[in-house]
Amino acid sequence: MLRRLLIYYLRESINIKTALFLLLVILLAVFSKSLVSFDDEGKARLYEPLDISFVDNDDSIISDVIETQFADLQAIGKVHMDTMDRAQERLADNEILLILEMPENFYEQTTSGESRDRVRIWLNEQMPAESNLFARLLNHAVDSFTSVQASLYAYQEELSLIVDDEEVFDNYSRNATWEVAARMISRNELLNVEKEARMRQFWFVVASLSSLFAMLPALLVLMLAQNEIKSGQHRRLMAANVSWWKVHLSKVLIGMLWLITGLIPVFIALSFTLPQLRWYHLFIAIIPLYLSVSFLSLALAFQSNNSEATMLTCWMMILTFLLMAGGIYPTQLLPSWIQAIQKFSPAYYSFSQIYETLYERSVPSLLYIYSVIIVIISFIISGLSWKRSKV
Amino acid sequence: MLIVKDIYKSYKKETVLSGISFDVDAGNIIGISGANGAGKTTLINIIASVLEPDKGEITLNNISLSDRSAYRNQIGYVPQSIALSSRLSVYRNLEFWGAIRGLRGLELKQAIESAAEQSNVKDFLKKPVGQCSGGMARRVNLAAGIIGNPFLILLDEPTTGIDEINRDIILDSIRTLRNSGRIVLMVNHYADEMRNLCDRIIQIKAGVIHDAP
Repeated sequence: MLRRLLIYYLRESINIKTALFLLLVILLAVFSKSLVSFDDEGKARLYEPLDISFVDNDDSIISDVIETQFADLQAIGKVHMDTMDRAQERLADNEILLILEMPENFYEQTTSGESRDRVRIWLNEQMPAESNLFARLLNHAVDSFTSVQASLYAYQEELSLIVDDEEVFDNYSRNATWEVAARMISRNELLNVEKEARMRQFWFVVASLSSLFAMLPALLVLMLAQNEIKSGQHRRLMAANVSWWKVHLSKVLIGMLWLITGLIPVFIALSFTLPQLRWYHLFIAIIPLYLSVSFLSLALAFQSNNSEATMLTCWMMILTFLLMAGGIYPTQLLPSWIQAIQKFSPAYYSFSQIYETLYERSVPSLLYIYSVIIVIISFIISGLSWKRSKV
Repeated sequence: MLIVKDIYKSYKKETVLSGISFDVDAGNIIGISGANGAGKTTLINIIASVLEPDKGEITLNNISLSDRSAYRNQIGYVPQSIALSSRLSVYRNLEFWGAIRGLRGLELKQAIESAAEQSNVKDFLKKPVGQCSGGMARRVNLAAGIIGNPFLILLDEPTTGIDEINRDIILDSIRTLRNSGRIVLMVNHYADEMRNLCDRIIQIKAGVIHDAP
């Protein structure tokens, strides 16, 4: 009977909507491939490195430290040492990610222990995600500065006990500051955040799009179910004693067939640009996601006669899962309450698996286990919805 | 024999069926009539086992509704809507529904032929259902419900929205089913049709049963 149902749903699903879905996936794969450029080492990148402007009217030692450290980041192109007017021009022209403005006498205030004015950051409104991430990175840098400052104060306190001469004291202080700064630069200790974290935009896009592609065929499955409900066939199937799980499983398997068919061009495109992401990595990541969302879509189908409302609800569910997974905005930018419930989104596991694989990090086995658990829960929910059908 | 005993069904706080009971012997056509919203389709769906009653029992040839598998093997359900794939041909639709009932190979082929003959659809077996007229589609709908020769046939408004010629064909098919010793339960709005066809008419009013004259 399962074979009959599979053949039946395959025939039902060969229609213009499926063709449009396949066309969309192929177009997006081609489009994504065309966006990719390669750096000097042959690695794929979607973006050009971002420049920043640094404004320090005192031209102090801190400028050198900042310039050296930031220029070392892969995501940063150039660090422009600008006047404020020039920096604002660059910002308005969308040339830079942000402006860092050091207040006057910042270095002297820092070394003297006076309360100092704040460093100002001007963010590029046209790059909100990137500039917000960078601002968080700078917060970590501030912590490092504070540590350096505390060390210098302690040193100066001890030094003042043995050195009376002001000029000698200043020389020793200055040399100590240079020494600390140099050592911290050489050890990359000034910025203690993983420098490349979440700034790999192309990988983010790949993980996000793959997760979205995995969920879209659930809409095809939903349409099969809705056609069946509308025509009365599902009641006929119930009266003919067909098990609910055979009906659901056969629809979902047909949807999976179309998912894999649509993803073949995506696999091919990714094999050129991201060789570390093998086809089986992608497969293992997206199949549980597709299954979960499909079963949940079937659960929705049997709770309402209003097919448009059900379709809209399904779309909202897909987008919500993707948002919760950190696939629209990076996780770090999400409110804490969304971060707390992230793990309830089936897309979280797919997105995380693909993202970790792209970084060539080992994927925690718990991610696989949780994604399978969510499939099982979704399957049970779809069965309960069938039994308590309101259509 | 079909025995329906004390069937109750409510939707939220509204009682739709209240203590419905009746018996039907083999070889009878029972018409179920009533105003819109009286509970006719609800009753048919409960007897078809696609809807759970709140209370009550139903047995068919001593097999209880609670034994769903054995019970459902004896019933054929023809819903009000055309519950068929419009993209497949008449033959393929019948083949699918016959296979769903567990028929295979030669048995399936013979069952398709028999159902097609009883419902008068043999002349357009290769036609996609989507291209059939309303009357033809209703006949195919009937054929899909009776394939495999079920003992109890449940028809929910089988002649709605079709012309007289097709209606007569369907009513003749229903008579043939009755004459072959089966039970036919039919929901219908057409009083004349019911009077000419049915051996007994049950009227549902305010959730209770009245035997119509």
